[in-house]
Amino acid sequence: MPHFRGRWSTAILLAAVTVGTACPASAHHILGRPSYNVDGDASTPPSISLEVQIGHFNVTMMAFPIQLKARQPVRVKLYATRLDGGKRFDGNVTFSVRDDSWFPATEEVLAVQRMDDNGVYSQGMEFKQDGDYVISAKYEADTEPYVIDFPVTVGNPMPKGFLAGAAGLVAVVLTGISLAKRKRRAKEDASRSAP
Amino acid sequence: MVHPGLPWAWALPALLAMAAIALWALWASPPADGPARRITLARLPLIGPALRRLSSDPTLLTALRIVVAAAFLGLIYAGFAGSPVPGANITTVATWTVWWTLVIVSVVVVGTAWCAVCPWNTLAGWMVRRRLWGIGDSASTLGLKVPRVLRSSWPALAMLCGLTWLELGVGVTQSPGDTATLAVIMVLLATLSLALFERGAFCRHLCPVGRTIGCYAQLSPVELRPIDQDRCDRCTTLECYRGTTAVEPCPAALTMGRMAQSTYCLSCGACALSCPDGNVSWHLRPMAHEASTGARPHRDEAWFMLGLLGLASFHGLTMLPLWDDAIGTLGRALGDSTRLLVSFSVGMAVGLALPTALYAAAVAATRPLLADRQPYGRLFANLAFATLPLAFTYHMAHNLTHLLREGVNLPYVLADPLGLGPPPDALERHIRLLDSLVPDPLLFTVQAGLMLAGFWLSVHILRRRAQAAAGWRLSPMLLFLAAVAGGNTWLLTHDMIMRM
Repeated sequence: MPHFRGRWSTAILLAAVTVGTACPASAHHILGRPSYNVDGDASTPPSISLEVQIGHFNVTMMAFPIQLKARQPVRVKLYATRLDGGKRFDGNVTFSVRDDSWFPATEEVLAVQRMDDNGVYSQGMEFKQDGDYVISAKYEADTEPYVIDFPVTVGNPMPKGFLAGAAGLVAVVLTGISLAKRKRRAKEDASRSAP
Repeated sequence: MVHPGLPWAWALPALLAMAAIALWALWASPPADGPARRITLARLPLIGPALRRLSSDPTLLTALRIVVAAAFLGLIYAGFAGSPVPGANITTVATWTVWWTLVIVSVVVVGTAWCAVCPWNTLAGWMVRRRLWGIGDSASTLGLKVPRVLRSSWPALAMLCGLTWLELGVGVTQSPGDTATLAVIMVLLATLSLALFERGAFCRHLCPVGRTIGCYAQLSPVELRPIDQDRCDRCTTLECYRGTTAVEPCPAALTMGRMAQSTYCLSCGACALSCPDGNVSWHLRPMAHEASTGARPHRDEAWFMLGLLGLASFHGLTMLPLWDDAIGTLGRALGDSTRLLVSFSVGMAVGLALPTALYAAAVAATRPLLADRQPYGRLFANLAFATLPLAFTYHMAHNLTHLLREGVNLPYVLADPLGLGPPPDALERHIRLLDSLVPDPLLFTVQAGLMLAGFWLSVHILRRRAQAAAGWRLSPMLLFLAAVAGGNTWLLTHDMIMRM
């Protein structure tokens, strides 16, 4: 987990929380940006997008294609402009990914990206399994670290194990109770019919 | 997305009217005791036959349960298989925007009737009893007595705090999958409880929703009671409590003839079905009558009511932009992780403890002023009923914003319940969410009216509960109630961050 320092740490922390709840971006944030509602790899809108003000920057992130699936290309795009003047951030952005779970495995660094001609930082990736993940974009500006966490869901991670466990638990408990009560009833009947 | 709060043009008149009510209560003499006027709905010309049919034939209720349970299972499927975007998936919209609002509003009209069709209990009943209706298979339940330590409202209060923590801290409302998982866990708990313990232990002691609407139902103008009390007094067979060969006994272990409060009643109608004299019916009564006179004070229930008061206000607070600033500062001070769960938990603990501590202080300050000096614990439990309308009306006013503003999403998610079609263009979605299901002035009027009505009912209950004492002797409690009502109104005046 990155250490938050300096006067923008609150803003960074707040941004992480806002991103953590991942509301789709509102339209007025999209207007006036480079047109990347449709991705170059797949002609679909993004599956999810977010917009957040963090420190000196306004940051937009989007994930393509419309439905993220395991073993298929996924692309995440980041666009950051300064709040004062709208100048694009020009530097290095490090993308990484980790499981979105209570006890996430180690974060995997994907690559460090530079801005393309449209002012967008683009990172391709492929997920091996369906599940919930957090894609992190990190950069440094004015000696301050910036971290944006972007939660995505890949595929439809139907929790088969959980559902099977719940059904199994109910079945075991009900069957156990039923057997125990039938046994007790049979014993009572036997003692009643005994001379 | 942020929506405008209650304008001061609406809030200020409500606050001034509250001040006038508080001043009146300082000078008014004690309220006169008198029997409450009740109307037996089964005797009314139009609604009466329908209610009598409902009370004597379980078909309609069973059909309703099947429909609600089917819808519930559909929501679980959509939560797991549909879009992870909360505003696009019917599970999050139907659960948190529609159901969680309407289930509270429904208390005003039908009391605890939701419990009668609750899918958690319905599915649990079907699995354990292996029957859609009537007497089930008793071989599947151990029928153990609930352990003494759990025989109170404390487990339900813990569950309510846990639910709020998951909802606001972890963000279950933002995840269709987590919402569906939560639904499965509730069915699991209800099923295991029904399999292990006697009667409706889950509903009575554990269910956070059942206990919440059960508490609020003490303000409701409807009640399930005997038509003729004398007939119940003479009854020796107690079918309502024991059941019959065809009807289950009361799941809440209530005896109709001695029923003084509706808080544990599940409105399942088993008593009406089993009563050989057909002596059970719905009645109309004065609003908050039960909370002001009928209900007996219990310490665990008082804590639950105070929990509701704190959680309702805390709920609203977390959706204000100023909360984001505060939690961010706290997170930095504590060195919290990006999920800010520790900071949120600390904020929630403070949000719960503060109104409770203020209430405890107000009771302590009021006690020496009363001529009839009750033990502190009894007075604490007795006067807690006065806080109930404040929680209830703020809960409704806040949730109405969700329903009427986020509810514009409902037709779109009904058209594509799983949300797997192309998402709306961002501009289109933004414009859509600027709309409201009702004109803003109407929403603001209802919200201001609710806050005022809540304070009026609180003062009414306080004066009744204080019995002989009234006027200036109640000034510490009046001050507390006014501060909470004013604080809740102030919360409503702020812009509110929408969940979806």
